[in-house]
Amino acid sequence: MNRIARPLQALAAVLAGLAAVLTANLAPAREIAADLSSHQIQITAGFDGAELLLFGHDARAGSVIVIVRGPPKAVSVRQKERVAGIWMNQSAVTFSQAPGFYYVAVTDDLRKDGTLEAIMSGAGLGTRYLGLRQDNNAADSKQIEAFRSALIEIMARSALYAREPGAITMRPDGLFRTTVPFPSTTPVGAYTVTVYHVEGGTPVAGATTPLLVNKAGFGAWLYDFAHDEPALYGVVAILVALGAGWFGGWAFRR
Amino acid sequence: MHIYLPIAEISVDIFVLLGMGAAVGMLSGLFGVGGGFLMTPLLMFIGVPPAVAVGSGTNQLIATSVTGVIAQWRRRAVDFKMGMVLLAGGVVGSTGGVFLFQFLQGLGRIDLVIGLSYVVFLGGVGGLMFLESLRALLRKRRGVARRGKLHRHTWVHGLPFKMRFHKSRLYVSALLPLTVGAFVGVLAAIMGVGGGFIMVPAMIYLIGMPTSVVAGTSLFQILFVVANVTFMQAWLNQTVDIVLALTLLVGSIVGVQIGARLGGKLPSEQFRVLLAIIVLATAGKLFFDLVAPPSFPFSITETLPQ
Repeated sequence: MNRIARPLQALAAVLAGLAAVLTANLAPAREIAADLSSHQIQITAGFDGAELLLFGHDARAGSVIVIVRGPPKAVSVRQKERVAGIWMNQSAVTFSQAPGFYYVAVTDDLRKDGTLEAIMSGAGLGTRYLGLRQDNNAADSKQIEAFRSALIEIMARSALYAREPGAITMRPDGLFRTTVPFPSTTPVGAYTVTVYHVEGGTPVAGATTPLLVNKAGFGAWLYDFAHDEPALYGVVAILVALGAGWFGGWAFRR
Repeated sequence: MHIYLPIAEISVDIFVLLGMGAAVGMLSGLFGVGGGFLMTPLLMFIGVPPAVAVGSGTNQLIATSVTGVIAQWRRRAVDFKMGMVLLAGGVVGSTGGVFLFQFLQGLGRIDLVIGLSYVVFLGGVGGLMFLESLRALLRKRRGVARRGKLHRHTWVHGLPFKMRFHKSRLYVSALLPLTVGAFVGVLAAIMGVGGGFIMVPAMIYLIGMPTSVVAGTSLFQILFVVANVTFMQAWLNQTVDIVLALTLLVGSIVGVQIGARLGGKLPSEQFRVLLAIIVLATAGKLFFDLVAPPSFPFSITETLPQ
């Protein structure tokens, strides 16, 4: 009996120790919790952008960064150059993993001179430090940098990338909140919302919560129809227009 | 009030679309043109991607041309035989045009080709129309009516495969309408137009058809060409937005009626000068966009992952 019991006891002790270590490591992650007012944005016929409330609790009431990432996409950036007096697309660089949406919000205490820049660049957070990778290595790094900034600028113009971090309101008791704005051009797909708390100048991922943007209603049905049965959709488009034209002529002839 | 266009994937003010439809429809009613040459650039201007602008523009043109064809057919002003020959060319041309569109889009050159086509063809036709109508205006002032030759024999009449077209009272080579149809078909696919502005002068001056059947016959062939472009764009590129087309349509049905009623009140020569100016202004705006240094030289397109 003893011969079996002893190793078992040892194993139990090891397991207990492991558990203690694991929970100790996980403990800081548990100190921060966050949720969204809704985990789904539905793009319906009247969709003109949306705003979600992100709220949470940080046990330390410390510095917090929120990042909302949209679904990654391959995006080609093209540059117009003058050829024979006409401006036309010449060089192009493709970034294979550019997020379709990127939003940053920070607590006020992080906005001190230069600290935010240092924290974000160190952790690869924020559009400028996304580390967007290009597909073709032909262009030199300086040129690629120009294309990368152009991509960020264009996305920022349509409010898909945050130009300046938004504000997180942190209460002394550790409750915090921020609103995340989504423009009318918000791409569909799976989003992730990550809340980081900054410890000694390093953001540590705390809570993560998912968000799904999808088309709904008639628009979604039509989109699926157009992509699943393109030939039939084409025929329907023709018939609908024929019917409408015939009806229009008939209605006004009387 | 905003409306989300499910295929274009943008949200647009519904009244902007209705207003655009009405304005272009009014022009159609006034001048008897499809108005695609204004609609497609306008759609691109409000942020609709070029491919969706062309695909949905042609979808809307189906409705406008069917209304027109029915009216012309009642007046017996359609040469169906000529229409079918033009159409045979048109189907080939527009199918090829859709593939060309897809190819150019992959190269990132489609905006340039659309712009250049508009400048060349609208500018050319607008310029000719302007000169022609000015001359007509002056002639009318002077009160001298010069009579041209009834029949001029050119190289066109030496072409093989001659066919007889009773309605048009013509005996010409079938190659002629086939080529014209194919050429206009390519333009329809690339520019998102019906192509009436090329088709009508080509029918009168090149093929030599009597003006009484020109409008009806060109509408007949345009109807099928835009239907073909719509089908091909929907099938190959999924760029036909029915919601967009129908919204434009509601505006244009009303606009056409207003235009047609206004049309009766203006003398036809002044009218054609006006149309020429609108055509030239559109071409001028697109020309300016091509040669003026862009405020921001970069653009992005989503590419399919390889």
